[in-house]
Amino acid sequence: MVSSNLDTIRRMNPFIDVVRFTPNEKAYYRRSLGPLLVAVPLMVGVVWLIEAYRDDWPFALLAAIALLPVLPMAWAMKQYVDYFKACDEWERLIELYGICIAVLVVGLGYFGLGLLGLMALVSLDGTLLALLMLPAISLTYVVGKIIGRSRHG
Amino acid sequence: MRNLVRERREARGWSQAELAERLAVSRQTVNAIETGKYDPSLPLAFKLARLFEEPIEALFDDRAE
Repeated sequence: MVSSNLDTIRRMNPFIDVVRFTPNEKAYYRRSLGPLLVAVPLMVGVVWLIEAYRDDWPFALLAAIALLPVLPMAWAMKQYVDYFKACDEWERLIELYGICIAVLVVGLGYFGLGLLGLMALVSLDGTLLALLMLPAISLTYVVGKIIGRSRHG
Repeated sequence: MRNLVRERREARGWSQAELAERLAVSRQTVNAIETGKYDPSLPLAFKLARLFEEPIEALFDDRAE
């Protein structure tokens, strides 16, 4: 009875499914907390270590330490791959929306910025742009998923 | 594509969540199929047809809007 009432509410308000997580998504976001909780303090620690020992330690060691935050990011990506494998066919369609829109928008944005930089119309900080790529992809991926869900949800 | 999934489900007194569990998909997937916003793959359509003990063409009509 309660379930059928819920179905009626959903029918009256189709937007509910655009914003509600599937059980798969909930599990994925829970699992993603681990890599995030490791990555943030690791970033702070790495920055501190590099600043403190920049002149004392060899380049190879400094580079290896600087790249340490890549590990939790790779862990997070592995979580995403596992999540994608566990998705059903509709969830995969929505994920593809997210991934496609993220890649297209960020790719085009970076290409456009590259052109502006090439023509010396704007001054670009390559390091900052490289660092912002993953957050930009994550953000546009969420927008893409919302678009996919509003079309197919 | 028009389909009769909602009618068949309601006739059995199942919620979307119950049907989703029987099909091993998310409830949102069932809702998307019922509202015609997503056409299921052939394996999932067969699963639905078997569950409701009807031929696929009785559940899905590709001639209707």
